[in-house]
Amino acid sequence: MTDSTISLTGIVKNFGRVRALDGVDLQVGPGQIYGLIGPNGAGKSTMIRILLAILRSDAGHATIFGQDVWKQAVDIHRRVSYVPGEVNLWPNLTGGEVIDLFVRLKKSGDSRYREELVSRFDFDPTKKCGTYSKGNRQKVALIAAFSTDADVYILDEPTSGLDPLMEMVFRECVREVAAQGKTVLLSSHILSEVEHLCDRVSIIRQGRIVDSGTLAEMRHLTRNQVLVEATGALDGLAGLDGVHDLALVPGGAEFHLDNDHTASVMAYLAQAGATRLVSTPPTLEELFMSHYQG
Amino acid sequence: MHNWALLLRVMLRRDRVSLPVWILSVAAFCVVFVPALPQVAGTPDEVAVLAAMMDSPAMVAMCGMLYGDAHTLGIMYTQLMIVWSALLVAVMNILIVVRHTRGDEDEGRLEVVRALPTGAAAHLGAVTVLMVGVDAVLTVLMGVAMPSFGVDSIDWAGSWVYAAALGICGLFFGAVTLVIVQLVHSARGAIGAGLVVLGGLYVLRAYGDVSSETAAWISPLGLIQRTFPFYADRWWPLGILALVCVILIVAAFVLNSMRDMGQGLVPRLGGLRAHAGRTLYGEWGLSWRLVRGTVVAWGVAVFLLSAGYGSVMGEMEGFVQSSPIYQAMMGVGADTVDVVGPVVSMLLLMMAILGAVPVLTTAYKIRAEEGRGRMEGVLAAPVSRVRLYGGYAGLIVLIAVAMQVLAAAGFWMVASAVMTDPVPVRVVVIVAFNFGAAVLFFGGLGLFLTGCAPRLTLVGWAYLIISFLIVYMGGLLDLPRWVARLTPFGLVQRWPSEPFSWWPWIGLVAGGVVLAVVGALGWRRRDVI
Repeated sequence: MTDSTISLTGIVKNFGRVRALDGVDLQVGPGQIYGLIGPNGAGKSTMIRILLAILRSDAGHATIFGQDVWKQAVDIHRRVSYVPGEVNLWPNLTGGEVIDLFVRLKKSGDSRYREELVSRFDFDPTKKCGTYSKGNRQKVALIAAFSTDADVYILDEPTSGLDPLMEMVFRECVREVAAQGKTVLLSSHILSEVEHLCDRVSIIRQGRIVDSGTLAEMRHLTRNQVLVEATGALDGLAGLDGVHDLALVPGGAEFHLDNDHTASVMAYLAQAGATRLVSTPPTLEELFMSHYQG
Repeated sequence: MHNWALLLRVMLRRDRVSLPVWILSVAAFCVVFVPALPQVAGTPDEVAVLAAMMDSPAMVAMCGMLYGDAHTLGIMYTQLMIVWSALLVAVMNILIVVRHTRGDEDEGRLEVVRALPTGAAAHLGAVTVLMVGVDAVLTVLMGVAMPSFGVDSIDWAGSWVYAAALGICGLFFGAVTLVIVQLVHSARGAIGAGLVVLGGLYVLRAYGDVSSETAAWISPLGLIQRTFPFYADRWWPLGILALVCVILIVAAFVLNSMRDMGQGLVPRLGGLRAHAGRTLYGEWGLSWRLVRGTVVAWGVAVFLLSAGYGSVMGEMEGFVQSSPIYQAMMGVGADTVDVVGPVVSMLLLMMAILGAVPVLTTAYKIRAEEGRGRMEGVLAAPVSRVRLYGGYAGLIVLIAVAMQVLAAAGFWMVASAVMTDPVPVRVVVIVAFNFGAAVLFFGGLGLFLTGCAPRLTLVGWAYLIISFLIVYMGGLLDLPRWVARLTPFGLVQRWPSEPFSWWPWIGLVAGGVVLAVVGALGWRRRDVI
């Protein structure tokens, strides 16, 4: 898959006897905003650290821009911006110094845009990093990442500790780089964030990708929540294929419906004299839960 | 003080390995040479020679004074060991106290503890009890161990004074650290300040022992010698020191109640810098910035201590002229180089060992940055691992050279001013150059451990401490020469007592380079921890 911007094939990583990644395959195309969701400990950060050559995979092949992530790390990193989930900074440097340092390490950066970001994130760069709260340390990493010129943004739970206002600023920043055709890999366990920003999503569980696709594709494979009111009796629903978690209420019913049984169930409902029908696609959260509990 | 006992139990549980290791190794260092003493000073002649050597101003400045009317083994042991043992006990106290106060505070662990139903002073109380407990256990261990070797003149009464002096001296530095952690803003700063106080009091004692009784009394390191163990066995100086400890501890509690958690009472310097300066550029600029504080502080300390050692050279000259035994030892009718050369060599050897410390901390910087989770962000930038490592290697060479130059300069400037027949600058330079190879070797060893065995960095420190012990004690205990050659500092020739040889020098430097290269290969391949 040479046309993928980020590509992982069969990536395995062991920490001692623990297998953190167990054959991960992931393809992120150019210009995609790609969401990676999974609970803590699923392997999201390990995956990202392998992409950044901070960890070395035990098996498999990973590339960015078609270049090997380990062997050509320095070349790749010139065009990659990274925001870690846990930002550790030098307590005796100020926030401004650290931002400048990262921009200089990158050797590409726009100082005017840096100032703009500092004010948009409402950040005080004159304090020592030792005095910053978690959210403020996160801002340092975000400002440094977005004020450098990159083609790929790798964001590992970038909004942990940010307040809702700053989270909106963050989303704007992501949309801006997306509009410029940049590729974004966003790992998160805040599903609404992924739902708002990402075109495609992979769900990772215990070191494996268990589902990938656009949100629409993933929804297609699952069930809609249906709420129906009808004049006739709905007892017959219980016997139909594709109906789950049926709850009969006076004058109506609530149930989950497998998408591929929609036609037959609709026919039954029409017969029963349906007066109102509400069908809700599953939220990402429900998708997510279905992978973890199902 | 609510729930302090529970907090103490948590501390003991956390340190269930490190505390016994600390206490046992420190106690071992403090007593292990007792049984060796009769072998080097068994006959009256041997005692006289050893005493003559130890009574020289250089040895008095380095170790401490010789007291009493007869040179018994107990007295000689005290002179030789009590100050350096006290330094070690002090370092242990400083590190333990910082770890459980400012260290926990920096890591945010103390915040969690405070949120539980514990009193505001409970944590400090628990640390105080821990510190007193550690020093008490240490005292008992030493007090029991020393006389049990059955060495002539090392009796029970003297041993208890000796052990208690070390214990209370340790407590003093622990108490000083308890106060320091209220003032500064970070664990690193607290350790640094604690070591500065310790170094300052060591120099004050050295000056005091050579030329001012008052100065010696002001320094606890001088005061504890003035209990005269195995001679007068005076307890009252320890009473004074204990009283000082109590005052310091009370002060720590008062200061603690005056400050917010995570803050220090001395206002934070700096800040207000919205942009990075010119020097904070690239990975090398960052590396320098990260080691700058430590290196400058050590540089100043090395220079001052070396100047302090240099200042005894004047007294040394007079001493040599008036001591026939010493003259006999060094060779009669010898010129300045022959007589004071070995002393210059001994003193600059101590300085070289001290200079290896910032070299090793710099070599371990990559590891330290990894441990604090800061390497990840740097390596995610277009930074080559090899270039980063190479930058540290370059810094190590510069630091090693700088430390040797500072030691030689500080020593020679003062020595040449106080001596009537000054030691030639050439001698000082060659001696410093000679030991420089060993300092560089430790840089290579540190880099190797960082790259290939990042979890075994303690090995480097252990080797440095063992090297110090062998070199420090070896000369006095008549250890075979090959034993000293197992350490880098002993591997080089002890010029001018021994003829200069390039082979060990080149071997050490080459060994250091090979270790550093192998370390680079390891670092290039391994995971960031």
